[in-house]
Amino acid sequence: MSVIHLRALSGGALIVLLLVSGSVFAQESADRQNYLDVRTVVQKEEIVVGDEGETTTRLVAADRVLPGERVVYTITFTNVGSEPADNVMVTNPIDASLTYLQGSAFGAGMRVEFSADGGQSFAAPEALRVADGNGGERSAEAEDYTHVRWTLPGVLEAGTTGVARFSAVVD
Amino acid sequence: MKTVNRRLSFLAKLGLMASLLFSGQQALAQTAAGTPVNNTASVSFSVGGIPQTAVDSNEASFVVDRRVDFVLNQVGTALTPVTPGLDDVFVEFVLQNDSNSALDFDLAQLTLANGDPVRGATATGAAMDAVTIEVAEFPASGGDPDPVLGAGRTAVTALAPGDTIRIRVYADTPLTLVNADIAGIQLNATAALGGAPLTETAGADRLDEVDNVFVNGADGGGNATESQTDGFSVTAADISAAKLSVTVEDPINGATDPKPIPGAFVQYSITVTNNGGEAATGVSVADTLDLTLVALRDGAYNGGASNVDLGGGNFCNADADATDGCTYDAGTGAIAIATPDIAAGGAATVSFQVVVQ
Repeated sequence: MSVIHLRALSGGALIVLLLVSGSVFAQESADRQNYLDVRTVVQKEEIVVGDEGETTTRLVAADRVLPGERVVYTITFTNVGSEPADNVMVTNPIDASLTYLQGSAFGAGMRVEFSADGGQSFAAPEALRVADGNGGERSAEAEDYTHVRWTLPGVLEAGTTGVARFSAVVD
Repeated sequence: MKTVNRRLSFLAKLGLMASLLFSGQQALAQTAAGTPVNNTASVSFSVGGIPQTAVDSNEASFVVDRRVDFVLNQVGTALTPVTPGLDDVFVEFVLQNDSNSALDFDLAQLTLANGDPVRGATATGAAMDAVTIEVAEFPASGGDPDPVLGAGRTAVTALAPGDTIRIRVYADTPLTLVNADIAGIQLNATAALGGAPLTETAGADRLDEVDNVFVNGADGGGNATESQTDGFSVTAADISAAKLSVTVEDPINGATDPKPIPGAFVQYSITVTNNGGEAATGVSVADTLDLTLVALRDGAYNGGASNVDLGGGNFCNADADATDGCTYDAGTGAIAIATPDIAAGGAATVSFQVVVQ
């Protein structure tokens, strides 16, 4: 186990270095963590208007993003180890400049929960409460969410990949 | 197939009104251009029931780009009424920055030619003179002083997102303009930064840099300039005069069926009508008596005190003294009578009498 621990750490150090350098190619290099390989991709949701006025949505690179536009985050996690992984939970913070798009979080077979307190506690949307500023509580709105969390019931078998996704609007 | 982003498509559906509302909402809390948005997912897991160190993903990042969006609107609902010769009149515009970045604006004014559309009307007549731009001191929303002529602020600097600023275009009204003419002004505002007009960023992937994207409403985007017209409607007095003569008394018949024989009194009534759209002030009626035929009759009105009836119970005495506005030159027969002010569409009648020689 100690070997695993060290390799996981070295992977983390690599990420930090890339962050400092500001490289946009971090996603290319942060692979081969032990047991789990986790990647995030951000794309922009673009509406294509056809000749008949019909619209379809497609995802394009997030190279030109303006306030009011939607971005989609896709997190893929692959069990690159030799043993099944269990208790798999994917936690993703929602940037301060983003508002979670209600109903957009998706992950096949996974339970989706949210946090409105910086990731300290998670609950389903209908159970999530926040302070109303008047000493009471109210239901949390999408703009209150600070984190999304997906929980995979059962195990992630060796060699298999899970996908979690959510959309947000740039404030 | 053409591609538009979500917002433009939305606007296209809902039209201009929705566009204004939407941009108003946008102005409230737009993420500033250049803000990095970073995302790192973290996955915790166990193997064989033993918790492992959570694994972080790469950081997926992008930079919020500059949404160049602003509107230039006229102030008020109609053309500004002016009279010929009136100087330092102005039309006012409001510039609102709906972008997610502070912007500078270069301003340029031009006078519109005959036939150009001006705010639902059409420019006619001469162009305004001495057209000058003045910008309010800084955002009008803060209750700033009016844009003052001569202050010399002709560009907008660092207008914050969501802020508005007032711009006036001052001008002088040439005397060649006549009633019902319309003189048009166009104001162009061009978004700029660092002393240069903004250009839209073309093409390729600039994930980590601030791109300029034009989403201007009024002219459909694609450039950094918005234009707006406004103008002046000329309301001038338009005077016409009519002269009537009536013999009021003669030495033989008195006031009954008098004839214009020597010694008879003949009354001249001059009616001045203002057909224009503006009150006429300082109107003076001039006439010259043929002294070989007639002489001005003194004391014809006001119980013998005045020789001119101004109407409405007002009188003056035409003599060498001009203080009451009426003069008479006994040497040349020239009489001048200052009428009361005449409202638009109104008329004034002045009368004097002569003695037939």
